[in-house]
Amino acid sequence: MPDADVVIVGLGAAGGVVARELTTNGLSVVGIEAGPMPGPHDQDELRNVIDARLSNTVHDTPESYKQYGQSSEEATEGKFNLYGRCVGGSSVHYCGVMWRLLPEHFNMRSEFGDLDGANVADWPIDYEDLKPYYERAESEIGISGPDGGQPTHPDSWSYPMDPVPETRSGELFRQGAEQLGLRPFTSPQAVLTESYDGRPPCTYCGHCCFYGCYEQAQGAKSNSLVAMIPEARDSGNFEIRDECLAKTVLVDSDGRVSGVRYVDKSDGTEQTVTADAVVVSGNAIETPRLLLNSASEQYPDGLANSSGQVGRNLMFHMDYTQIFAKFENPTKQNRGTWSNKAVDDFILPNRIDEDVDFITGSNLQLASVNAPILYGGNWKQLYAGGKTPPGTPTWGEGFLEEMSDFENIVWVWAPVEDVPRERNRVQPDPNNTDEWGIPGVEVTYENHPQDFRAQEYVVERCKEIFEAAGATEVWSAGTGTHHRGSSHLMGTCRMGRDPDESVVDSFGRTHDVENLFVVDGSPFVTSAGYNPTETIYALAFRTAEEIRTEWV
Amino acid sequence: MTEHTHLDRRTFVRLASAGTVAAVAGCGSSEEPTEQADEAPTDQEGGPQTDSSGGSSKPEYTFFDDEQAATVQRLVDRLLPAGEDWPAASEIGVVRYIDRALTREPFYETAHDDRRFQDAYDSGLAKLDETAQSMFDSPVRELDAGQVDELITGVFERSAPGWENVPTASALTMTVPAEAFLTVLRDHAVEGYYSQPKYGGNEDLAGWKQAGYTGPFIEGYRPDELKPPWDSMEDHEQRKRRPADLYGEGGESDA
Repeated sequence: MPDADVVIVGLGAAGGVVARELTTNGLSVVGIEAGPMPGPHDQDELRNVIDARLSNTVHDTPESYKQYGQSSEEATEGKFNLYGRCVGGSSVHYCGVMWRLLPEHFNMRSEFGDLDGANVADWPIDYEDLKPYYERAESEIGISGPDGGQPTHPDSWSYPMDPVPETRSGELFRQGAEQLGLRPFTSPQAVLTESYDGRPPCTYCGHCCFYGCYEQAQGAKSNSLVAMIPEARDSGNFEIRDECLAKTVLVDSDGRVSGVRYVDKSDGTEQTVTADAVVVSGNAIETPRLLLNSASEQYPDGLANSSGQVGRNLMFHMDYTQIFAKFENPTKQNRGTWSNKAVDDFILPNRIDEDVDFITGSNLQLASVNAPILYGGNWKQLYAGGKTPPGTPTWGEGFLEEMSDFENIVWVWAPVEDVPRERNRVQPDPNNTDEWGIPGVEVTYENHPQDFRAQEYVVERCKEIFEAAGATEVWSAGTGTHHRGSSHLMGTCRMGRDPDESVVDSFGRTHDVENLFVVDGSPFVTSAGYNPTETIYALAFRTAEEIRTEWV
Repeated sequence: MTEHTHLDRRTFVRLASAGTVAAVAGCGSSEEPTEQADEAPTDQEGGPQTDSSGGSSKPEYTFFDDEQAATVQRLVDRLLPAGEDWPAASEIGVVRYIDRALTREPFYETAHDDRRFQDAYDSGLAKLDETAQSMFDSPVRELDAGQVDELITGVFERSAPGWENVPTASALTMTVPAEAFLTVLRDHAVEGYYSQPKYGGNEDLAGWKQAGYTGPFIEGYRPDELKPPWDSMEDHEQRKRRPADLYGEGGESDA
């Protein structure tokens, strides 16, 4: 008798959904989570953003990064990829901006053709396949947004709650966009605007992205931790083994997976949990790391890797892309949620009125700098450096003069869609192991030239919006540079119909091993210019349904 | 050797700190007069002391000795100097913030642990003194404002003697070599100016006021507070509660 019907490795956005769906339908589940169960959070920028980086424990996987043509010896060690390690995973600290992909996003190759130097492909599913699971994510996770949904989406829908109220920065961004004939709208967000499902509404406290929701408003930010894990625990079928780091997925003599070998971090001992099926939901770095570290006699190139695609096609979004404006009067842009308004008119080339020399695009979303310390810059900070205009002194009177304008700025962030490339990959690095001897990761990544063209285009359009809104100063940051990491991790176990060219099918079942599933950002075929988590939730609902109805 | 000077400086620092404590206590529920008494100069009762941690009173700094504290004060007050509408760094506890940051337990297992910069501070401050000696024939703490600015500029630009080959911090890898000492000090100063007062800086929320920032409230912000007209920080404070530990465990004063 195995210990459980299913073992889930990683209890983040996807793992939490799968745990709840399986346990409330009578399956027994053991969840292995590398981080702890998070305690209460607060609104402290030093604790959450500067020193701890992501409110909960940022991961401790050793990383190195290199560009094409560089040897492992030339790789740079550092912290590049930002994901949380705790029950709830990165959904605890995320910005919570939620999108349904457009129909074209599932068919990028058919819509926009092949591209030299890229590995663009269609997803094996269409928007219509995922639509019922987007609906479930919106109602069961708890997402607020505008009636009608996303204005450039051919489908139209409603959210279970009104969108967040307009802020001054949102008003400025909306007015600028409207003047240019664009269609600004309120960002759909995993933020409660009314009491919902026993959880309190948002207080618009301004400490949202990179923070867990603070104690007195806990639950107002919808995520896997508050919307999924409690029901799983209440089912009586769920055991959480937190602070346990998966080392390998075990394989039996028939080539099926039989459980997981893990390190119990509390005492450093190695333990085994057995199950009839294994769901790997680390993220697009940790999932391929685990599969490739699980190489065995049966699977010498790594588990589920007969295609050679595990770890490849890594996508980040152009996560560094930032556009700023300063206004004569205060905007108090730090108040409210992370994103108040968005513009989708540059999300894909066929939404753009002119000929462009790229095949992707980006959502433009208002963001917020939570606190002055984050404006001033700190080497410890996410994609560090400050957010002040280029040329601002880093110290002295000139620096403090700029800091006194902190409340007059507006910040927009653009998750520019990067195209998949086979050479962009994550590989285990046996020469750079963690404290339990598990190989860390070596990431090889370069942006395709088209990514930079798309980035430059959307940055210029955003600057025009700010100018139309009456900004006194406009600047950008993070452009023109190859990405080394991200908080949006996608693509490294791509889904597809052909086992020679993909790792999993559309349900996340690996082509090679019928009782092994992958669900997180890894199955994404292309990255889309939208925050990925609503799609991760939707895929997780769909994978869980497949497991409990078809696999069992 | 220079015991006399040493003592004077320590006394000065303690006097400054006593004023500091009073200022903090005065900004909220001023209920801890005994703290002030503890912090008052005590050189009369204990006789001359050469070791800053050897007195019966609570030492102002845990990590810095008096000369180091004076050096850091001189530096942070040029990194973040007083303006017409705002105080200089050391006036709102930034030196104390840095001293505590260098001895603070990390928030989480995988959070940054600034205790690893202790050696960088010890050697970096000594090295800056050497550079100041070679440039101006004086230690940092005795330089005038223009000289400190020249020193800082020379170090940041890698033109000051001895600093030509010091590596720089990398924002992309989110790492900083300990030798990039002044970068660490600058970032620590900004942390001290703008982080919650419970960590030792941002006294009286003066850093937040400098940036026009009203800070966190348990009640957050109502929809009508997301747009102008803007209420003042005092208006918000009158009708809302601050996070209980904003000023530290004991309430308003954590000095």
